[in-house]
Amino acid sequence: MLLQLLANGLVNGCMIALMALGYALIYNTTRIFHVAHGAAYTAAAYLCYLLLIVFKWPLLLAVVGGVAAAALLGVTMELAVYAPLYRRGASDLISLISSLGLYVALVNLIALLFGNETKVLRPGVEKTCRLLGVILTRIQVAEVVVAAVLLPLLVLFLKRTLWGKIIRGVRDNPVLAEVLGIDLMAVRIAVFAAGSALAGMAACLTALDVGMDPQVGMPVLLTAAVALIVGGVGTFEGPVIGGFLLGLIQSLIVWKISAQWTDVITFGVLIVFLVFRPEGIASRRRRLEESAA
Amino acid sequence: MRSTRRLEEMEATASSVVPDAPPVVTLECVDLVKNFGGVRAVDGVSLSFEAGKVTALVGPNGAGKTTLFHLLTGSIKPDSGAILYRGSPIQGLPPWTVAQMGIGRLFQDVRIFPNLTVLENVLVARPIQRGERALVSLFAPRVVVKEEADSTDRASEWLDRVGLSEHADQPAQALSYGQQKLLAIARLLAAGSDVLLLDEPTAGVNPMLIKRLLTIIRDLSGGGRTVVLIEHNVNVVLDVADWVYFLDEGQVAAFGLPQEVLSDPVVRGLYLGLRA
Repeated sequence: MLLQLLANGLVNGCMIALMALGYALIYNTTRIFHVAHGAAYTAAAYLCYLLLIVFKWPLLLAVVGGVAAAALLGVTMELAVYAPLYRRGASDLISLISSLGLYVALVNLIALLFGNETKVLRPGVEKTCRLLGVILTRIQVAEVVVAAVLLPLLVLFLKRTLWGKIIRGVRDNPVLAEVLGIDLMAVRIAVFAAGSALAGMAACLTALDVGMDPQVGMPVLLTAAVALIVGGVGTFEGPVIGGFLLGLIQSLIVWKISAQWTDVITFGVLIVFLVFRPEGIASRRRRLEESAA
Repeated sequence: MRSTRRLEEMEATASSVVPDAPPVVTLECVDLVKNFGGVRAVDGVSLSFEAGKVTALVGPNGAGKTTLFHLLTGSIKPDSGAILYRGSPIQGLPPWTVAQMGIGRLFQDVRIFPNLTVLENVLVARPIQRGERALVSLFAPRVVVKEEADSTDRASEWLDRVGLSEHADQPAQALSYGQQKLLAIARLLAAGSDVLLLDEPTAGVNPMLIKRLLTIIRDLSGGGRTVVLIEHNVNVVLDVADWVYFLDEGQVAAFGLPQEVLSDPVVRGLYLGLRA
């Protein structure tokens, strides 16, 4: 029983971690509290639905389409809204309000086009795999495999490659980066594309697993934001750790208390971290590295 | 004091000691004006900076020196006037384009990427690398790996030059203030900047490091780079500068050889608080 719950927590954590890392890429680099990231998530799930169910595309192509749509939507939001605001020196609050407006507009548009009811992408009973007494559907296995491949690759990419160093440099000091010859706008477009694509991937896989409705983006976004704060704002490993931690906690809540308490406990964890460890989990590791150096 | 006649006199004196070879002006500004609200921070300033020379900008606080650096690097746009780099106008270009053209800047308040290692700080500033292009990264990883290895070697050389090679793998925030200034200089060198704008490079740095800094500045200018220095330390100006512009209230008040400008009684009165 415990093993099954841990496995469910792992699956849940994989999706939160993907969403949180995407969100961290955007937030750490641009400092925009990108609420409309939730809309990119929802749009990806619905495009996947459209391609798979309405246009009868193969599953893989439908997922690729959903991911691409999220990336395109993220870049469009940056080019049409955030970049002009940045160039005019708008405050963080203006960006937040604009993002909120984008979220509301896009989600209502999706509801208008597809309806408010829950949509299921794979009707019927999903085939399962059994391993060490744990039962997972094939989609859940796919969620774990995708996260197991993408998350370490991305963290390594950010640590090792030149692009990763540039993104981390912009995170530390965007003004300095620009004076050193780094095209800030190109970096912002890249992080919006990559971050939104990660949200799209999490959205398509989750939608295939449990279905979706037009409001699905906001709770996922808030959980990702909690994972980022718990893991450590400014880090890229932190949100991944935070995502897995929240996934496991949420799974244990379902087992020990009730699913209704999931949000209460999630935000309870956030408050505990804000009070006792506002710098998050990953910052401790950074300090240890420093002392070892 | 700030009369044109005075300036012309000093320029005439200066030109009489210019060596035979015609100077190569790399960067110049013409009638540059910048207002902040009702305050005219830069008021019709015209300056030129030569390759292979160290030019110092001196003057009291609020004279417009740092604003001038902001204008030259594209961080702010002038209200009027022109900035020419090797004869081509660059005013209005974004800072990253100006930097890629070859104009690098050291900030007064030392600025680093604190969470990157010392080596990574230098690597990020290397000139355009093919690894920056996403498609090359994806489809020609070997090219990128080789290029990154070369970049690492070059960056290590620059760190060695400023005496920071042993700290290469430490987070940059672990360095002392003076070492962070050296790191910022190594980063400028690695960027391959042709024109170096150094805003108070010796401020807050211990005497041993100042010595090292001045040697580096002399080497850079000796190697043909254009060095522009904002400096309050008179000894440093006398030590390294070839030319001095004295700025006051957003205007050029005097220009000439360091010894002449700094010994001018009016400059001494305005700048050093010493009356003739």
